[in-house]
Amino acid sequence: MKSNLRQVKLSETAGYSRGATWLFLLVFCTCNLSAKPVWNHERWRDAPDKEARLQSYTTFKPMDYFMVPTEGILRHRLYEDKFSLEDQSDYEDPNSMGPYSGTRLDIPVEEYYQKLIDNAPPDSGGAPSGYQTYQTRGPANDQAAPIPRENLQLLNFDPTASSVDDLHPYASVRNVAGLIYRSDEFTCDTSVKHPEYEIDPETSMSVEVRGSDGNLVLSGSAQADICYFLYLPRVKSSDGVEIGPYVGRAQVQDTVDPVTGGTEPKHNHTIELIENGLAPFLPLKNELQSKLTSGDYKIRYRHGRYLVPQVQGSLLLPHNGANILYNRRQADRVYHHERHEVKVTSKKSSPIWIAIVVGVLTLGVGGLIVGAITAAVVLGAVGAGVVTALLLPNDESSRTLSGTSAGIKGDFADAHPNKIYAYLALQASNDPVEAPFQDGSQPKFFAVAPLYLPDDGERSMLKQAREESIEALDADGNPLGSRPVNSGYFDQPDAALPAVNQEISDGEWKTKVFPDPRWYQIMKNPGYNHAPPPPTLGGTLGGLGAPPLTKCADSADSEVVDLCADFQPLMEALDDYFDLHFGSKDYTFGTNDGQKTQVKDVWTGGSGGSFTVGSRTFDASAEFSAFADLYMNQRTLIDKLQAESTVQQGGQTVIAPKYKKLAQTTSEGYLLLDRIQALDEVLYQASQETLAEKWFVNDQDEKSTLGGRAGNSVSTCQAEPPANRDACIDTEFGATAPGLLGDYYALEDFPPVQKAFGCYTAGCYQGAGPDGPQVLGILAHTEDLIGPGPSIPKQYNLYLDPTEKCAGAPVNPTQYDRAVCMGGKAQQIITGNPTQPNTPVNPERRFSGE
Amino acid sequence: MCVLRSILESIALLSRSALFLGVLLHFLQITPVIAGKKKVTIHTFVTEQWQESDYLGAGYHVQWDRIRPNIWVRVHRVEGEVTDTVGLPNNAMAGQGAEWDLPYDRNNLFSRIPNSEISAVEPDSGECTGGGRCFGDWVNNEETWEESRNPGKYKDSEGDSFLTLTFPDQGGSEPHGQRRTRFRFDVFVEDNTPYWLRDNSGGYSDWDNPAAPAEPYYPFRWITFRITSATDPATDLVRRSEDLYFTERNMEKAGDEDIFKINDERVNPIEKRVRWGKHIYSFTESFSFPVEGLFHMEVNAEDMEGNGRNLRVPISIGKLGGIKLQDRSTDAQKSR
Repeated sequence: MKSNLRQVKLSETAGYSRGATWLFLLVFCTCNLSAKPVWNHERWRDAPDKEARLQSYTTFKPMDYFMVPTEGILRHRLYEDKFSLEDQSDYEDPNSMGPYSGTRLDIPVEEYYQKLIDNAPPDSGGAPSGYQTYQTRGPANDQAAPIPRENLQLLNFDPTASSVDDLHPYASVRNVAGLIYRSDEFTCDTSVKHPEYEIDPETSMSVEVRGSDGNLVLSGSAQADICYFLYLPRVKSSDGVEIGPYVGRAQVQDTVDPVTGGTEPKHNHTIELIENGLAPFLPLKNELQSKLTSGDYKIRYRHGRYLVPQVQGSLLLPHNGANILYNRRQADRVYHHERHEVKVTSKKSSPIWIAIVVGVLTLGVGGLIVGAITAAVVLGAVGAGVVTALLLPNDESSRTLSGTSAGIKGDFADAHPNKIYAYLALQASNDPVEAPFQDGSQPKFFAVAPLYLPDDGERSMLKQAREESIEALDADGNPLGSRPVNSGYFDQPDAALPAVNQEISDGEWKTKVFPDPRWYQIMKNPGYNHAPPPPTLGGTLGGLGAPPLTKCADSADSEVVDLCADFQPLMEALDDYFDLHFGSKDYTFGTNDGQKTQVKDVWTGGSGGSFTVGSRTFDASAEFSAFADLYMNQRTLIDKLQAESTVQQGGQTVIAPKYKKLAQTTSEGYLLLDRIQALDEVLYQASQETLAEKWFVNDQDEKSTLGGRAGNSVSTCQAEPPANRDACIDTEFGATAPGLLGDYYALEDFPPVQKAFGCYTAGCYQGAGPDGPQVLGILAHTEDLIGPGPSIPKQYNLYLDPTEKCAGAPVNPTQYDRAVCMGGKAQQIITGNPTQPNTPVNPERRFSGE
Repeated sequence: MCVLRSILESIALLSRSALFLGVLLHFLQITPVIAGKKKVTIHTFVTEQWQESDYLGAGYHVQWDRIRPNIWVRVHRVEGEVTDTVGLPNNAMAGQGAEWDLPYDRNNLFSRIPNSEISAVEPDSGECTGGGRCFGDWVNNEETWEESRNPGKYKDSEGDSFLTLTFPDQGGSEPHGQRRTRFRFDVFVEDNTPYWLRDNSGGYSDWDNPAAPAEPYYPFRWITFRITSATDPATDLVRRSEDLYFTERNMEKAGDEDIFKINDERVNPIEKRVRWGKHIYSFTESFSFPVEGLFHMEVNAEDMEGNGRNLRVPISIGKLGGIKLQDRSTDAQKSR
């Protein structure tokens, strides 16, 4: 009885408790849910940690598309290019990779932008409508948190744009010879060493001043009294579209990109054209002058290329003859599909239903204790279920739409202009390099510029075009086999084929498009930069892609596992280095030039460190010294990585398959290749911009030091008895430390210093004088006389004019031979007299690696 | 106790039933699917977005040079030392983006550019279709520059033709000179291509070695100069019987491969290699007209891309005035 009473009390309590639970539930459930259509408008953030899809969209056009304009296009020099047009038509499902079946009804991107912006709400304070965009992708681990939104505006496309007319795709000008002009009535931040000019009394035009030797007289230093610029005159199309004239500043000095913050190096070919006097005088009209002075000019310089805008799908082509061809390798652009899908469903699978069922079953067997516990559980479960249901009102809507064929394209904002949000997932950068998608940490800009191959890759591609053997690559850079030029072009029976393209199929590509004389101009005329491109591991389309999440330890691939094991010490050393000096073990570069610039600035801007190579000690920043130490300690693995990680494929340098697999499947592998590649580039740039001058000009006058040492050695040996002089000279100048050549060979064998010394002796840094190449000349003569050592990192006498060598001297000269040969040249070695033939030939190859 | 227990149990059961029913009914509101099989209409709005590696129109665009060379000739009549210049200024530097401010000088073509807008041009043919200025900004496409072909099309700021020879002391109907008058022709030819590269052997074989030196050449295949009959003009490099005077500079001719080599002392003194920021090929011809009549001075040039230009200027030659003077003198002597 007592127990019964207790049971009743407990049941009572449980009943009250259950009643309260249901009451709470009833109140809770009546608040917001109502029977109405579900508007699911935040589809884009299905998974906050996901990247936007990178769709390799295989159109019917081949990857390597060559186009030869028609005669008519050449006549009026305006070229309508489909690249700049946004497809507004129906699409096929890009996942199917099936044949193209739609009809392209293209409009220029400017119109597309305008349409979007016009649909944006005028006042963000009111109810959101029209096109909007996410400010960021959203918190990575908080799916329920709302994502900040903002109205669509020009800022989202390009922070520098003041109107939609400022948003264009761009094409690159391959060679600017004949396009560089000067005007001396204003300045435009193009201070550069240039010829001096005077007024020709006969014509009243300024002409180049010549010295007594007949050569151009160059201004002693950079002067800011002249504006050097690119100029493309105005042109009108057959349908009356006028574009141009365009101007842009000559890239004669390093500049900082206002958008990306990255550094654009000077364009050496532009400087050469100017210094050779090949910049005609062109007095610009005021409106064009003001564009150059204010910075509001259209021809931009990005990543070694001058970019010319396309307007309304039309491109004004430069005609300087040498500029036969321009390149736009690939157009990576963001596509938006606005899908409106109406679904009527009878399925329902909601967390609240599950919660209710659980709750009822539990209540059905509820006891006093169990009931109390159940009440709490039900309360929590149902509450959670309801919250979830509120956020995701229908399970049907939580699926991921992986295809683009679902729903109806294009009735998005048009159908509901005042009610429905339309979100644009914008790309992270408008920079003409491949950039990762928005990860929430970068501002969002639309990609308005295309991608490019590196110069060496471009040369390879052109060669294949001439041979009609294009090595097609897929989006990951994997070879698809050799294919005829433009083979895919003919897949479309309705395509309007330019006449020459038809000839291509007859094997006349070489003779009609690239005959020998024209071909020679293309390949011999400078590429985008005279300076060789920084060595990279890349060169493939798509690079390494996005960092993978898988760890080495989770890999099941034996090759990957082996590589992980092999390179683990180097991986850990790099982790520690970046952790200690840059604050993160995960420090990664990707395509972010800002990260590279940061490392370069830290390397070159600080002090407090030093390191020793051979008998030499170099002062540097603590961060660079640590890098040098890392290089010394991990030399074996770094050499192995650099030797094995790239292969030649179809004339291109690409990442070796197993290393690519390592980088694409493990985060450690990605970081390893990413860092080594980036550090190599940074070292190259730091050497050229700072270290060569710092170490070998400012910290120590290398030429003077070398001359003094050589003189002392000669004096030392002269003091020896004649019988000992041969041995003395071998010791003093020899290839084995502490011989003179031995010391320099030590520098050559250590890349952190070699690049700077190579640059110094090539005279590659800005403002370089003749001293560096003369040091190379002295070393070349020394090597010629002594004979190179058994291990020759860099053979100096390769740069010696053959006529300057010790003609007739045997490999191991006798004292007599040496005396004869050295008769006048020993003195040249000591003095480094620039009028003597100790100036090497082709010293620039020292830095180009050729 | 039993009653109490029954009551409590009934209350509990009712509570369960009511609450369950309440929830069920409420849920029917929000999910008619479950209760009444009522359909739910779901509007899903998605901005699908992806980055497309699109090769449509992307790739390599071969752009041929179709700009014809610019030719101008400074003509000196030796007797009297008078000079005039015929030809057109560089079409980019004479474009509408440029603003030259030079005192008018017939021998400085840039000083003669009118301020008028470039007139209507037929885009397909490149021909001028309206009045006004018809040169500059890549418009002057005509293969032959000759005043009589397009009368009034090439006027300078004074209304004179760029293509007509008019000496300072020359009256409206007077000839340019007399029979046996010596003329000197300073011919200038420039191309939009600043130079043309060839390898050290004069060929095009070491293109794949970026470090191999390349020699710059004026980008011309051939240039001819001729004085010929006004009734039978020529536009090629073949010498004809009608030509009173003919010279050719042809790099395709054996022995003349280096005729346009820029850095060649025999061809060009150093001070002539760059002029006004351009490589301008120049040469001088002298000629004395043997008979009176109407002649043409013609300069033909073809660049390495096969773009030809022909400058044709009429030159009228009168009778030998000097002999008249001598005749008068003779007459004077005879008047004894």
